[in-house]
Amino acid sequence: MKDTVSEADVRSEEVRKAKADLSANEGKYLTFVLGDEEYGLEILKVREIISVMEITEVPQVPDFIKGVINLRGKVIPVIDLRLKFGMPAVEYTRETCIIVVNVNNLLLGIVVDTVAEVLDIAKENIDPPPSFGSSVDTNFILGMGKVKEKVKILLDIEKVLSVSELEMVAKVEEK
Amino acid sequence: MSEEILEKLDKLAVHCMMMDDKLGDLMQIAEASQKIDELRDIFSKSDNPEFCAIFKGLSKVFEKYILGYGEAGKGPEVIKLTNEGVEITKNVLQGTSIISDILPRVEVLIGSFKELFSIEIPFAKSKPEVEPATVSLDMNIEDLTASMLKEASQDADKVKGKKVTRTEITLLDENDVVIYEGFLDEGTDLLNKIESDLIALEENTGNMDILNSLFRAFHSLKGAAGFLGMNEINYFCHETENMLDQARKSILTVDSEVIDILLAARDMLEKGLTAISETVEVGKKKLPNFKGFCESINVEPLVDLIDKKLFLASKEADDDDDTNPRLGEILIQENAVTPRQLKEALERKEKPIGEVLVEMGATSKQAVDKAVQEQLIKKKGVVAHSVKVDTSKLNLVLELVGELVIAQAIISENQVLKNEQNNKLLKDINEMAKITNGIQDQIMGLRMVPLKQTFSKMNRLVRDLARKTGKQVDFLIEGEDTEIDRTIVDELNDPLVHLLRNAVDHGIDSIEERVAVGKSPNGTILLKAYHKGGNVVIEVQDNGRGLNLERIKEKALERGLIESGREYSEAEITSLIFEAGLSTQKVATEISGRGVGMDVVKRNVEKLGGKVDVTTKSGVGSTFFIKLPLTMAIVDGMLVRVGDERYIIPTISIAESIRPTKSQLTTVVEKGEMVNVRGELIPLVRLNRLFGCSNGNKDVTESLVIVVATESKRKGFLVDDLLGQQQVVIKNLDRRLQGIKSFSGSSILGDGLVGLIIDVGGVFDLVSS
Repeated sequence: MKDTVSEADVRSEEVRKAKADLSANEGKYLTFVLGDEEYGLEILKVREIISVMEITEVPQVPDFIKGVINLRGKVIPVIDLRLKFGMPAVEYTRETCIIVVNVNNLLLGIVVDTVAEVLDIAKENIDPPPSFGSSVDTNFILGMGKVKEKVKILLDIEKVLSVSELEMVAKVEEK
Repeated sequence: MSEEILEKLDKLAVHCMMMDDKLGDLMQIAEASQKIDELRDIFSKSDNPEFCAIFKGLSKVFEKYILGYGEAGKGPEVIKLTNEGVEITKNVLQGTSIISDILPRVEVLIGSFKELFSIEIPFAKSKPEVEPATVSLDMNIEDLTASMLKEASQDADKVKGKKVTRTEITLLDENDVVIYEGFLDEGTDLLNKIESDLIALEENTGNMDILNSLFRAFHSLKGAAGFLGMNEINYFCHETENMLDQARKSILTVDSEVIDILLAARDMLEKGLTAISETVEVGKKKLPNFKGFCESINVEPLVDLIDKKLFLASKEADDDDDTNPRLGEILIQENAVTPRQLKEALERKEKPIGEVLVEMGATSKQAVDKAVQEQLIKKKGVVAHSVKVDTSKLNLVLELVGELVIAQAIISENQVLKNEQNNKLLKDINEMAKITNGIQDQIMGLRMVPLKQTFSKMNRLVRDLARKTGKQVDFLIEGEDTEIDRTIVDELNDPLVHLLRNAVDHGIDSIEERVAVGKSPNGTILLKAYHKGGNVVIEVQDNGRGLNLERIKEKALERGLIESGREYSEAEITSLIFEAGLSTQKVATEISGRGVGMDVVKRNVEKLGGKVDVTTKSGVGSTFFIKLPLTMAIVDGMLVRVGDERYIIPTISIAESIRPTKSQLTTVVEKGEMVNVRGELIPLVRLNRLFGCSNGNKDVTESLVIVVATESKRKGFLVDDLLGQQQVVIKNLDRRLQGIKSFSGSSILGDGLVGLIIDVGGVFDLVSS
């Protein structure tokens, strides 16, 4: 459907432009806080933000998968981004949020310390991801956004939470 | 498509109505924003910059509020703007306004975005030539059908000229696909009906009702095909219909030859439909290539056969007995007029008979109208009062009702209510709970369909197989009205085909063999369905030679499925036939015997949450049992507590629950724990260890042991508490979590939290590996 000529023809110039911008990482980002660092998620991937609720634990999965929640009748998995990034776990507070994102057409909840703001980040303010050699994996970083002297780490959520990564589940279980 | 948009718009409007006008509730705003974004995405793909701009603007406004820097005072404005946007869009989509009418309103709207929220939306007007918005968005069904109707009528003349081919390849849009899919759905239903009618006709060749029903089925198919310009199908149905018409008029006698022709015609049409469905599904873009279809199925010989049959028949009989009932006859039957009055009226021929009778004062106008209605019904066949609904929509409703029941439960469990003294309130809430449960029952009922269609398809299969193998088989069906969940019915076909094939091919012995052992030459196969304890059981029974246990044992030894020297019970041996690669047939026939089949049956049935079983007696026959849950959407489960967590164990796997005494316990090398239940040693599984829920190493005598069983193994699950038995609505686990073998799904419990459903087989695999 998407890629046929006839469809593409009817698309307005603007949509095409928006698409081009996207590939250059420019656009709106929802920023959130993990510890002392600020991260950004492409706003188009964000479905909604909910306050943290009781999560049903799922056994036999990696630690960072906190479990599943009932999102208005849909059962969706929730992961803790702190644990995913190897940061120390913290107690959930009133500030703690679950950002519901759409990853490859599946919903997923991400627990973060708190949600900050939505930012427009221009192309010239985005630096390419840094490289630390093998010590830190930067594969999941789209780029580093500089906004008013501060740096936001822009995440490629699909890479952070790739399906294959969640399929690790099966491997963990086999141990 | 446009209906879907309208629905979304309506939902948004309703949501706005309920929104707090200070826009303080983040959940509400988030939901509205989500709805707006969906619409924005839809419109951004269409050719309507107006709508696109409206929803882009709204989306940005809501974004502000989500992030908390929207001004609460402007809340009412936001709602007003949203409503205006919805209304504009709706007017155009419903055809009450055209784009140029609403342009000023759109401009005002976009102006207010800028003024109130300083959000600027670039906005270019539509190209003028795409004026009626409905066309550019998507053509609505009426337009499309009208144009198709025109096309069909142009083609109608060509039908008589026999060969009509259509080679050009046209692009299909989504609407076309929907129409074709509708046609395919209807066609498949009709073909199924035709098949069961034909089989019934074979038993009862003179039955006018069946003939009429067949005639109608072919006629409907002809009409539908003609409407879509599938002239080849139309022409072919027309020929078949002719033949049936002659049969109806008793010019043609229905014999086995006629039935064979009709069956062949049906099969040919099925091939045609399959060919079309393949093009429609695979391409979604091309109009089915009818020429290819016509070449792939050569209809001419069959048409010739029909013509010949008709020609011979017309020579034999010229008695033209119309089966249509006369109006007068109906009126007499109803005692509305007397035969004498009728005769009198018939003599005054100047007007329709009904009018004459009313004028004469013989009867009332109502009586005549009623009789006319009845005549119409008899002519056309009874109009079925049913609606076809897409299963996915049904599932959605089901899901929502499930939510409703849970929401209801949450309210009734509320602590505030529990301490509430107001009897009226409690009574009302109770009443609501009753209604909610009533709705759920009814909705579940909607998903249920009788097994009739699936069973009657088997008729044909057994008939053909019996012919092919040269055996005489009486095929009996019992309990075809037993209802079962739709999704299960669809999956039931393959296992049944396998079982019946086996029954005819291996089960029933040849005529000579039968006569030699003193059985009647006709073998009997019974296909039977009935309810048993919340399950549906389907039996396939044959009175053939029974399973050859010796031979199964031999084969199993050969394949290393069993060990030599050990004693096996009869049940163990018979259950071996469900293992892959085991066939007792020396030679694989065209029909069966390659050793695939039984394991497929087992796998399919287990996938549906059921079980297969077999009993057999040498020389007397075998019976296969398929035990299925009534529905796949709901499972009967036992809610158990393990540590701080709750899990659901499907009741179907639970054999019993016991609180063991010390003397019943044994350990192996101090680790493997077992419990002795009436002489049987059952290994224990500590769920808390397996699932990592902390409550230490509790003494077994302080826990409950739930004995769970699959068809071959039994194990005891250690749990802390039984919280009660309940029916739960199954929600599939996220695709990404399906690697976990221990759980088959999840469900939302009474308090709104998620509970995991234990997959007993999965846990067994896990602990034994």
